[in-house]
Parts: sequence; C-alpha cells; structure tokens
Amino acid sequence: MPSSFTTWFDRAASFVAASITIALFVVVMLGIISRAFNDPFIWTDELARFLMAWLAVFGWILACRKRIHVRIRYFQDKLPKGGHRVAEIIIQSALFVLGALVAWYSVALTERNLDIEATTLSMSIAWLYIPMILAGLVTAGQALSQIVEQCRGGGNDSRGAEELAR
Amino acid sequence: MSGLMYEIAAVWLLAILAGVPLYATMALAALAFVGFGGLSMSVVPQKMAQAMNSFPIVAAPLFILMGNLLTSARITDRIVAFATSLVGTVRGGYAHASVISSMIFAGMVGSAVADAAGTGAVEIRAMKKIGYRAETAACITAAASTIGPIIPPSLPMVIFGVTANVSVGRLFMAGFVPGVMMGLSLMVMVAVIAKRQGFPREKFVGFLGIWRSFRDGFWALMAPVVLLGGMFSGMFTPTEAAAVASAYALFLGLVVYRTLDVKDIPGLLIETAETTGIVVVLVMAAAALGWCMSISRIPQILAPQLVAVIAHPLGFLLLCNILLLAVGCFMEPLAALLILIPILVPVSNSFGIDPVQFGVIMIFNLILGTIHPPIGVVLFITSRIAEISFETMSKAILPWLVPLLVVLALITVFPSLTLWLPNLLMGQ
Repeated sequence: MPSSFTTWFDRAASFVAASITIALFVVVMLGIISRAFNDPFIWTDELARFLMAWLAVFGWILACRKRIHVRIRYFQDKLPKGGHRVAEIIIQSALFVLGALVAWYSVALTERNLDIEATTLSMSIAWLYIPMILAGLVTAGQALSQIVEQCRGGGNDSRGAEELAR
Repeated sequence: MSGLMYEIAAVWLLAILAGVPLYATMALAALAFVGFGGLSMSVVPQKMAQAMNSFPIVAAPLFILMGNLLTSARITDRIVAFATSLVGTVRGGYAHASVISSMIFAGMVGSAVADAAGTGAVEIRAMKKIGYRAETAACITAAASTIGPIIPPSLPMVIFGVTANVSVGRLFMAGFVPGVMMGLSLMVMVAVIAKRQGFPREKFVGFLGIWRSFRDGFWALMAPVVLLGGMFSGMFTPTEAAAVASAYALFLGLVVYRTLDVKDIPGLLIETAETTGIVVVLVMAAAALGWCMSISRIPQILAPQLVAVIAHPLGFLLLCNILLLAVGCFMEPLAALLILIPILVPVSNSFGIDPVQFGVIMIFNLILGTIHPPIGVVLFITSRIAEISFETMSKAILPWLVPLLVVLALITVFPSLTLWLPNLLMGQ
C-alpha cells in the first residue's frame, strides 16, 4: 500500500477510534446522571452498544495495522529463515481469507438488516454490522500487503510488538 | 455435528501453535464449522458483532481507559508510596508494598493487565533501584497483579455474570476473601524469599511520614470506596462503575492532583482503543466459536458423560482446574470464558456446585494463565518493564505460582471461602 495513503488512513482511524472512546464514555455517564435526576434517557444503553461495536472494530483495525494482535510465535521462530518466511506467507494467506470472508458475508448481513430499526434509536440495526465490512477489508488488505512484503524478501519483523498483548 | 467440531478443534489448536493470531484461529474455526456444516457463513460476522451488542462489554474499554488515566496522571505512584510507608520497614518492604498496592489497585480496576501496567512501572523500577534482582521485582509485580480481577470491580466477573446468568453483585462479594487470601499468601512468599535473598529494608518513615503519604494519596485511596459504595448502593451498575472510575481518574488527574496533561489525553484515547481492539476482537471471535460449540451439542453430550464418570463435585472441580489452567496457557481469559461457560456451567450446575463459587474458580484459573508461559500477557508487560527476556521471566515466575495455586486449592475445597460474604450480606 502506498505510504501516503496508509499514513492518512492510520491517522483517520486513530482519530475516529479516539472520538468513539470519548462518545462511549459520555453516553454511559449520561445514562447514570439522567437516572440520578429521575429522568433516565432510555437510549443510552443501546447507543453505548452501537458505539462499542464501532470501537471494537476500530481497535481491531488499529491493532491489525500495528501488527499487535496476540499470537504465539515460539514455534515459528524456531524455523530457519526460509521456513519462517513460508510459514508467515501461509499465516497471512489465512488472514486474507478470513478478512475477505468477513467482509463479504458482512455485506449480506448489512443488507438483510437495513430495514430493521433499533429499539430505542431511530436508526437501522445494520449500523451494527457495517463496521464488520471495514474490519474484514482492512484485515484482508493488511494480510495482502504482508504477503507481498514477504515475497519480496522484506518482511518487517515485529515479533516483539506482535507478542505484546498489553 | 459434534464430530466435525472435534476435528475443527484439533486444527484450531494446531493453528494457534503455528503462530496464527489467536482471534483469527477462532474466527476461522467458526467459519470452517458453519461452512462444512452447511450453515450460512453470515452467522460468523453476525455473532462477532452481536458479542459487542452487549452492555456489560462496554466496561472493557472504560476500565482500560481508567488504567491509562491513572498511570499517566501518576496516581499509582501515590498508592505505592502509601503502601511503602506502611510496610517499607519490614525486610523486603518494597515487595510487600507491591502486593498491598495491587490489592488497593484491584479495588479500582478490574483487570490484571491494567494492574501490571499501572503499578508495575513504579514498583519494578523502585525495587530494581534498591538492589532487587530484575526478575524477582518483575515476578512479585506480575503475581500480585492477578489480584486485580478477583477483588471487585472485575471485568471477567461482569462477563461471567451476564453470560452464565449469575448475580454480578454476588460474584463481586465472592471475590473479596479469595483476593485478600491471594495477597496474604504472596506476602508470606515474599517474607520467605526476602530472608533467603536478603532483601533490603527501608528506614521507618515515622507516623508523620505515614500520615503524609496517606494524605497525599487520600483521593486515590478513596477510589475503591467510591466505586464499591456506588455499586452496592445501587447508584450505578457494575458496568457503569467502569465509566465512573474513568471519570474519577480524570477528575483526580486534571483537578485534584493536576498531574495529567490535557495534551496527553488524545494519545491515551488511541492507546485505549488499540488495547480494546486487541482484547475484544478475541471476545468477538470467541463468541462465534462458542456459538458453534453450543449448536454442535458438545455441552449436552459432555455433561451426562462427565457426571457418569466423575461421581463427586470435588472431582469435577479438580478436573476443571487442570483444564482451565491448560486453557489459560493459550487463551485470553475473556475469550476463554465465552467459549467455556456454555460448556462447563451446565455440568457444574448438574453437580450442584454454586455458580458463584464456580465463577470465581473459573476466573481465578484463567487469570493465572496471564502469568504463565507461553502466552502470559502480564509476563510480557512486566518483563518489558524490568528489561529482562520473556524466557528468564517464564522460569522465574514458577515459584510465585505456588502460593496462588494453594489459594486456588483452598477455594476449590472450601466453598464457604467464596460464598460466606455474599451469603452474609445478600442472603442465601
């Protein structure tokens, strides 16, 4: 992927993720405060759940871009350099398949839920599934770029980062 | 379909060992199950998204946010300083203080990872500075951080309560005694090792010194009181406690102590989102795989077989301990809970085991997985802070598992250790 695009994408994803985190915090606090004043907002729980789905997906995307998803590399690291590279290409291919399938079937899922409205919010349930399309596409795209990187003989070894689960 | 599930589970385990990211192994296993089972593949993304469409999971990013705010505002320093002023004069005082800090911190955050990252940075560096071996300092902090999800509030308890339909309030109460036992058992271990390795002792700071450190850390030390008081008085739910905790941390950092820089907040928010992504994507994939296991009827097949083979509930609990400790080697606790609750809780119920006791045992086992290899996320964090290799840390942590395993054995054999407090305060 061209570096200017990835830089822009990473910044945008970070901005969206940070904004959703703030929104989630505010919505949950609004639920508590409104209840304390005996005038509870009925929509806060549902909106918090929608925001959670979006935050989860943007967190997934950021972790995917930074290659910090949890994985056990102990056995792969025991392989010789060539074997390590082949194993990495197979792993990234599996991730590509996963991303593509998630994106493809999430489109169908979104279409099927477009007409169904949420209980307390006047918005479609499909908003819960739309971020899954994005997550699938980024997972597949990231895997593809890493396959290309490995085939070219590059392969940014970020073992430490990938193992760190926070 | 259970045969297909067993085959897929075998491939899944191989994929984990081969180095495929854990969330992907679970999601691919779920896709393989529905694909080969002739079901619609849309079910997998649907179950993954639906796992987030649950209010209790909202506690996850908010607890992570609180941990980040406390660390960035250096509020953890005040808790550690207070604990050190209390027990610093004892041999191995810093190590004892590390355990006490974790017990206090456990009343504020509901996760071992947040505890290790929060108090760990302060404790490990302080211990190394006064001559503790790096691996010893890291191990004490790592072992003590497992108290985090046992003493309330606790994210895994919220998830267990909601998934297994058990009162979260009772689970929280049930965690108190085991959490304190964990702390005490680790302090016994510290005392033994302190004598053997000749840990240093600090000069007594005097009662005025203790008072000063208490005054400096008063508002931070009040956090557990605010949170638990609010939850048990019904002002907010255990899930909402995470938001209140974040608000409290923000208030302390910006207004009371003024140690939090507004410019740092965007970075903290992004860090929160990233950590959330790493954790909850596991939960999402586990939810899909857990659903596949449910419809493959594994729980229904397994339950009568286990009840027939194991006659005594204690035998079942011991078997669960072994199974869960093994699972904890490869899976993140929240993900493991989502997969295993539908399988193990019905069996546990058929043995007449109290679901509150079973929940605490399950969470205890899985949390121990965070401090033993090969995954041990807390080990990764503490080894990085201590600047030692993961391999060194993996070997050094083993003796520190012993006191925690003793506590696990005690709460397994004596249900009253977990059930006494909830029964006393909330009735039978």
